[in-house]
Amino acid sequence: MRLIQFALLAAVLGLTLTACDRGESGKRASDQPGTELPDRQEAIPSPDADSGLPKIQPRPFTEIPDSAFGEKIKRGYQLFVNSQELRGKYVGNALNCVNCHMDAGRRADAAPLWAAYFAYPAYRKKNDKVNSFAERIQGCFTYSANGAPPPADSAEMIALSAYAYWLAMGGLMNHFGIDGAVPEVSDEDLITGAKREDFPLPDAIATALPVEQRDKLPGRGYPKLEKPARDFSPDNGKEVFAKHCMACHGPDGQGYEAAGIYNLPPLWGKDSYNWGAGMHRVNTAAAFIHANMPLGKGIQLTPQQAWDVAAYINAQERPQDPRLADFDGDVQRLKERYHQHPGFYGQKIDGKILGENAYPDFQQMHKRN
Amino acid sequence: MKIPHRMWVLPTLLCVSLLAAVVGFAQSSEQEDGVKPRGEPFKPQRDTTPTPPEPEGDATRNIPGFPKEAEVCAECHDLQGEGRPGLAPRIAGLPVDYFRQQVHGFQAGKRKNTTMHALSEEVTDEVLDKIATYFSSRPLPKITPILRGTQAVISDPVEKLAYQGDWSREIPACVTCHGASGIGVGNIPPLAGQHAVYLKAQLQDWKKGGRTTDQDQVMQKIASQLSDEEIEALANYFNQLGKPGGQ
Ligand code: HEC
Ligand code: HEC
Ligand code: HEC
Ligand code: HEC
Repeated sequence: MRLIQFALLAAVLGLTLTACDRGESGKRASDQPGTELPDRQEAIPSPDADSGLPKIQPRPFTEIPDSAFGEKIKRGYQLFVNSQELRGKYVGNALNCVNCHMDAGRRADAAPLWAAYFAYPAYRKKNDKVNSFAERIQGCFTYSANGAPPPADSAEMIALSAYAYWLAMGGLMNHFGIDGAVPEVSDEDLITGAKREDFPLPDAIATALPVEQRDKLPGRGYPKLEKPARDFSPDNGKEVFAKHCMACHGPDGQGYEAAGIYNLPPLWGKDSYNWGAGMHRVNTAAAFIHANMPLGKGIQLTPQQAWDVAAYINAQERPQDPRLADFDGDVQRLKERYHQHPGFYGQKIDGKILGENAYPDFQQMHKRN
Repeated sequence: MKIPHRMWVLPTLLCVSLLAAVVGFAQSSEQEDGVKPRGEPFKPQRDTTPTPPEPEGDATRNIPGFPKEAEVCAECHDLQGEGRPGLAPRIAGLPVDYFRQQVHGFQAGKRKNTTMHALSEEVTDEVLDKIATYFSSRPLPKITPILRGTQAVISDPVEKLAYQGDWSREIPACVTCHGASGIGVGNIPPLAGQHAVYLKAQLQDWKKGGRTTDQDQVMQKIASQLSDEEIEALANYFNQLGKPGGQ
């Protein structure tokens, strides 16, 4: 199989490409302000747990203030857990943010929102562009939720940012023994993120967390998973899937729905994350699965099993990488440009090139109607 | 008391065990000298199921789709599978695969219940398919499910466990898997409206290691993290959610 190729590639890349989305402000972006595809992200590191930086625990929700600001925080929580409220508007698949960011974005080592909040705006050397927190969230809407990014100044974006900010600040204030309510900040400050000199912070926190340290809070991202002993293989992953995943995610990986919500979410197919999402990369999915699946019983698969099953679910067709339009529909050119990581986009599996029969992305869905 | 003649599937040993249960029901001490079925030591449980009540008459059995093989089950689980608290759980509306797996579980001793163990041994897979299909198709009371994420601030600790879990103990919210308001989904059984005594007994069984039907010990790990008080409260909570018109 050509898996050896992947393994080599994986080794070469050192499996460091872990950003959720790989968007680059594309050519077509300009004609639709507000729907610009998010910029390509830097790799999300798994920071050193023993760096001495604070290990924080968000405050209980009962401490969310009864105020207009408190309402934004609660709204952010609601949208994060039940993102299907935005189906058709900003969300194009059956997923909810909480499906991949456990405990409503609070759980350490499951790409928690509080660690993310202090990691933006993130500067990217390559194109001299800075990504705000809002742009990072837009990435997950575009790719993980196969949708359209809500504008940075939309009520939804402000709510999600307020929620992330409150989780982070409450945790940090408790850590540094600062009493009282989390200070309110303006909407403009909320959507940019806390990794900048002029972000309003209590002195104790600003001093303890210099700007260049803020993206390194222990618990950020998913913990890196050691490389598999042998090349990962979708065929072997199929067995792991049948034994450990199928009971919840269904024999066809399409999950199950109750009361209109796929609380057992689809892993591939038209209602899952698209070909541009971080989870389609075998290394990212393997790390996520090893730490979190079966839900509540993480860290029981061997790393090999996690890599194999991550390969299996990601060697299936899913919604198109929305950047394909910028490449005149040429899957191989898009693959060369954006898919230089362990993954199956543009590869032949069971006689078919993945990506060539992809399900519609959000734009395509809307063109059809 | 009389053992209903319709329980033709019942092996003699079950009749004996039921009799033993009935005779010695109040005095648990008398249960110890039970009969040995099939060479295995007979250990009636303290809470062995009481005598099934008299059936309500043959006419009611003519409900469409009711397989005659299910008659014996209906003695305890009732014709529509509603069950009766303390006698037998509701089996209406269970996912069909889950239903089969549980009967296999009783057969294999992965669930410890003398009555169901004995009964299940008499059920062939072919018959089981029919029975499972029938009971699974029985409707559950309509409720208005509340979705996860509806409310951020939840002060009631039980509702919080159900809707947000407690990840400091690695307990995911119950509704993450069991569906909104615990109405059941895919192959995961409904909790809403199930008898509280039964829900409690199952969580306790997991906690004590008596039930091992769950793949990868998913439920066992959760139950082992719950206190007895939390188990009691969760059982009542989900039972209440299932009351018609409840939410
Ligand atoms: C299919 C799974 C999935 C879904 C659904 C999802 N995400 Fe993500 N998200 C990821 C992955 C994977 C990453 C990157 C983590 C990594 O590479 O370590 C990520 C990263 C992020 C980050 C940046 C984390 C950091 O530390 O920099 C934020 C913020 C974020 N997601 C927010 C959201 C929001 C808001 C939603 C709902 C609209 C959402 N995500 C839905 C998988 C998902
Ligand atoms: C006991 C049920 C259960 C089992 C078994 C299980 N999962 Fe999940 N999985 C879930 C639930 C529930 C979620 C969503 C979590 C949430 O919303 O809080 C989820 C989320 C996911 C996601 C992210 C969302 C998506 O749709 O992409 C992936 C990927 C995933 N599971 C893969 C797996 C794999 C691979 C296995 C087998 C190793 C597995 N799961 C086993 C219940 C399960
Ligand atoms: C004498 C009363 C009695 C009879 C008759 C009976 N059951 Fe049961 N059944 C029980 C009890 C008690 C339990 C709960 C066992 C436990 O606590 O594990 C149970 C549990 C079950 C369960 C598990 C329900 C769940 O939610 O997991 C199934 C399935 C079931 N019975 C099917 C049957 C079938 C099929 C028959 C007929 C062949 C039958 N039962 C006959 C008393 C009975
Ligand atoms: C990770 C997914 C998951 C979560 C979270 C979960 N459950 Fe379960 N639950 C299951 C599965 C799967 C089964 C079926 C187990 C089997 O096959 O025996 C089950 C079965 C049960 C049963 C037995 C029902 C019956 O009819 O016999 C009870 C009771 C129960 N769960 C209660 C809870 C409670 C209370 C919570 C929250 C504290 C909870 N569960 C959270 C997956 C889950």
